[in-house]
Amino acid sequence: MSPLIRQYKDIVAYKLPQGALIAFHARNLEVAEISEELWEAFVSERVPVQSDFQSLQSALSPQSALDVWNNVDSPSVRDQDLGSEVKTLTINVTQICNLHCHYCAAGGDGTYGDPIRQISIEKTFPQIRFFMDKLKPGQKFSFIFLGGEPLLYPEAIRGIGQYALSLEKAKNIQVSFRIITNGTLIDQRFVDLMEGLSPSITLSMDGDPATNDLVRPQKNGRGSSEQALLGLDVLLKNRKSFGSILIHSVFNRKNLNVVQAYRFFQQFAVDGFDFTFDVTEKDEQANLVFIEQMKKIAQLAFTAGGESELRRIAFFDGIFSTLDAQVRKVNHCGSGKSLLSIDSRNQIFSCPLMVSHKGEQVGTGIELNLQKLEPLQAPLIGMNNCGRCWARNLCGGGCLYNHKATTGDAHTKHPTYCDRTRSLIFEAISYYKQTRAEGAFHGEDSGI
Amino acid sequence: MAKIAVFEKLKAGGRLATGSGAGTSDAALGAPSEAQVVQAHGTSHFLGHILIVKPKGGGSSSEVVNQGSCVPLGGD
Repeated sequence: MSPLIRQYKDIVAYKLPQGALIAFHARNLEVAEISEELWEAFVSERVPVQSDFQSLQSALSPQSALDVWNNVDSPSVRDQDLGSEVKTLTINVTQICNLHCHYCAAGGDGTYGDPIRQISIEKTFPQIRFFMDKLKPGQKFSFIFLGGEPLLYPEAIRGIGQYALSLEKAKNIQVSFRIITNGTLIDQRFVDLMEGLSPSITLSMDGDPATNDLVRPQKNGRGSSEQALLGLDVLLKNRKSFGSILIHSVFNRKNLNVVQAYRFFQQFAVDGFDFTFDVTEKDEQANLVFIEQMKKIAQLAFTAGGESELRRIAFFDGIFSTLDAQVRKVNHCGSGKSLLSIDSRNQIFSCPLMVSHKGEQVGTGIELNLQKLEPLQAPLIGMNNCGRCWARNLCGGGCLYNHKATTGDAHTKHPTYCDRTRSLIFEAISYYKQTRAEGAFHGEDSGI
Repeated sequence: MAKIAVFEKLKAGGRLATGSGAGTSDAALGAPSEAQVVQAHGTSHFLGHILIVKPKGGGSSSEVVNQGSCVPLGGD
């Protein structure tokens, strides 16, 4: 039986079960439908590559087509440019938590193993000014408040937020805020404290109450769902006071029912869902189940509401966004480049997940260790040896913390990470092709 | 079925509306009016075999670029 995936240099092609043939040009970020003849050319002997298109006027064979497509550089695609400034800060306003999630990556209890409980607002102000001073008028700067549970110290969010807004006005910089919370402490007082900040909210919940209570219990062992849902209700009743509201869920071998979670969350009028695989999980079977579950919710979403519903799922939105922008994502994130993380001691790290890893500290206060940061400036797809992987420019080389947690080395990827990423990227490409081709091929069966 | 028809149309004639710089006048490739969304990036020789869909533009928010999808840490 012929393989259903074929690759020739920078072009990968898939034959979907229904027979549709979809190809992706890794370098040019081009999604295409291809002919059956071209599909066959992936495994047949190709004619020598000819760079002179004129000489190919009469050589329209599928083999030539494949070579030409591979060799031509699209003029409309470019590499991601993160710039030379930090434009996102994550800030641990607390390093304590009222929950005890089973997969907690913050030391198991939100503390990162550090006894400090909360940040000093006064020590944080100079850091904010330090980074915002480097921006030019009109640029954007975003703050992500983390913990621990950041709502254990909402006054810090308000204080830091108001200070950033005062600089925004003075420097004409666009500032935005996001809070990552378990939702259990959201009440009217919190809503009132956030007045003027309009923060976006990411509420962590891993499924319906029965599931969520098992994996995200309170420290007293009781479930957290009831309070989290009350918090979500408060958010939705005060919609105008907030930016986007997302629900984020983490899945691992102990909780793989993404479909059930998605169906449960659909009743809430939130802007989207971010379903991710536990950064420390490397179980192959769990990985496969997660992939299949994600494919199912993509299908459910697309069937229910087409592109807009599919793009409420963060992963698919990200791929659509990158393909539309025609920007090669050469970094999974801005870690150490455009993003830095401040812990509750005002120490600076390259990534929120690296907090407490002393070797990963890149500064304190307003002192940055440039020697530590320098090696992080190269594109991750190079540092992580992504080579000719067809998905490299949509994946960005993956999460360094995930790699370190699963292989012991930040630049060595675990096979499950690449399998999962490629599978889901291809799923996204398939839908992308269908939505972007719709204007041309009415009624076409894309085979998804 | 419809997708096969598209390739048949391309083979049969009709012009292909190509992207900027395509510079083709190859009548054999043609362009069915639907092909407004088909972007060829430099040559049309292979368009009988490859239909590239056209991106919408926009996209790639700085948030996506900066964050990846990592932030909820557990313990949050």
